[in-house]
Amino acid sequence: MPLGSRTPARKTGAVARNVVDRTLVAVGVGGYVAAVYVLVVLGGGALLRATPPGLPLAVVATGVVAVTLEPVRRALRRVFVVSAFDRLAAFGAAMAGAVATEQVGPRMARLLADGTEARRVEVWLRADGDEELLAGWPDADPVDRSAPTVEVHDVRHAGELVGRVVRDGGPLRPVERELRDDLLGQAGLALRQVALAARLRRGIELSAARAEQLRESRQRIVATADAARVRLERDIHDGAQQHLVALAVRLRLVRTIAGRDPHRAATQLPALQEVAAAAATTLDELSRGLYPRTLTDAGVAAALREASATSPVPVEVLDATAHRHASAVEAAAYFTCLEAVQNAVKHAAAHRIVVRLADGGDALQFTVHDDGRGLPSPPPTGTGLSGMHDRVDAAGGTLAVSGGPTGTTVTGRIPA
Amino acid sequence: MALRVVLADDNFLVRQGTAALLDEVDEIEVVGVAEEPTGLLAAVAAHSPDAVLTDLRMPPTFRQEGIEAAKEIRRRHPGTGVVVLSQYVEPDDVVDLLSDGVAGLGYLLKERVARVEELVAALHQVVGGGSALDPQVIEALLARRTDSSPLAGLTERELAVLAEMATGKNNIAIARTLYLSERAVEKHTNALFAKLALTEERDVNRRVLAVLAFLDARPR
Repeated sequence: MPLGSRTPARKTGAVARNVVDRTLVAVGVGGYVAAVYVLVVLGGGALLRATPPGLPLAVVATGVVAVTLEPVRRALRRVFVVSAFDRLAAFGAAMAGAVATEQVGPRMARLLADGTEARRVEVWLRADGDEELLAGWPDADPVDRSAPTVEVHDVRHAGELVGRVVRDGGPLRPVERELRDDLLGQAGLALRQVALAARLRRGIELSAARAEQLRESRQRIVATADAARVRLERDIHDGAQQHLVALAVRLRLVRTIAGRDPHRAATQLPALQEVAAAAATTLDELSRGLYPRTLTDAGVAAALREASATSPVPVEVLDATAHRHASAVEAAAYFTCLEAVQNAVKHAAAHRIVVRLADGGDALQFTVHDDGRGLPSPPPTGTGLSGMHDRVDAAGGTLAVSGGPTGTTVTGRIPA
Repeated sequence: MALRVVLADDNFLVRQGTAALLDEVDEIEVVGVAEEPTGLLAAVAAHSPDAVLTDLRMPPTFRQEGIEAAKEIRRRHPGTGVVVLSQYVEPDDVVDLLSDGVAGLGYLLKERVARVEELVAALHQVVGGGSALDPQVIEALLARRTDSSPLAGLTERELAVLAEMATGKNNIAIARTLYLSERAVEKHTNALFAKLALTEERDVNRRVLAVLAFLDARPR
């Protein structure tokens, strides 16, 4: 018989249900005794034409009842009362995989509560050092573990503590104790499964969250790269390209004039030189902005000093590194520090910015500190913070931004 | 009489160089220069030039200021031809420029400025109410032609004639360029007008509409 499907008094709990079961049995037994008496005494009397029914018939009826009562009662109990062991057997089947893991705790609690007439049973799951309530039955006040009627059982699997079963319900009869011990014997594997399922679910959720972060980060990186391309195209178009157009126009001009008046053509040459120099300068500035030569030649500190030489806020670069790092590491550190410095200049109203560089084993560590007004809370988007995080993430490093009213500190570590 | 020209470019060196070069051309007189669209419109209003030479990308957004200015000038001063200079061929920009009519408008790559004869020819073309498209623009537009375009039914020869027509040439000039007889060019133009369903239009409109169909032959 399926568990818990036959009683309408589901919510009233184990005690009430047992009362109903036992009442049914008592009524059945009473009915049986009455039927025997009616049949033997009245039926027998009528048959023997003895009125009133005689004493011997009553003795016979009592004898029949005495001999058959126990088997009848047992049969009735089999019909009306689902034994605790039936439920345990069903629980075992359920644990074998037929039941979703979220049903394991509630079924355990309910089985033990119903089978042992407990006030309440709680099943606790141990996960990552913490205990969490997996299920309680019936719905009642939480069990106070220090109460004298409460027993707490550790549930172990392969020697490892996987949970606890707490029962509030006083002393157990032998058959109930047997049920409890059998259940606890199965509980280890069952709770272990629950714990594994929960850990798996958490792992999946964590992976999904990470995947989402990664996707967003990639989108930002692509968007940043696209924006950089647009800027670059515009810089080239408006700068060097126009200068080269001007150069071509001037050359044509000189050619035209030279055909008529060589001396006048010569006077045009300084203007030509000027335009060529302008083209060279804009190209130089452009390429330096793309990737500073100094970073390749002299390292992060030198490149940061050069980039901040004209900064409106004084920038001090303190370099404690003993050696150069891989170019990808240096580039990540340089552009992140530069972004932090530019943020401090633009948004922090700082008076002084200090950049510190240090070796951390194979890694390159940096901090950028300013004495400005600190980050607003929550930090604004679009101040390059996410760009910094993306860059450091992409390099496999870590970045922390902390701050208060006395300034902001950006701390990062880029591994080799 | 010399063509009176106003030129606009936001880059000082280009503006200065172009003005100096055009000043050396006998048939051109530079009567005004501007560095952005508002100044350009003011200079055109002040000088009523025969032609305007303007950069496509100018302040404030460096996107299509030159095209907007060109269309505005054509609206306000129908007698003034406009040649737009662009660094690259952008077919969408060309279609946009010519969407209200091709007469008196030109689109050249900036590199043509140094080949001053081509620039001067284009200026003459737009002043005469014709259109002047850079050969590279024609090439780019042809490359975009797909089977679903109204030009799909045209023969290679008819397309070549149409491409020349788009540069503002008349039949005599087209015949010279393609080494054809004038009669042959006429035959091709009539055939392509028929294929583009333009036989009912007046001749000048037909040419404009054919060129527009040509320019609008974008992939769908």
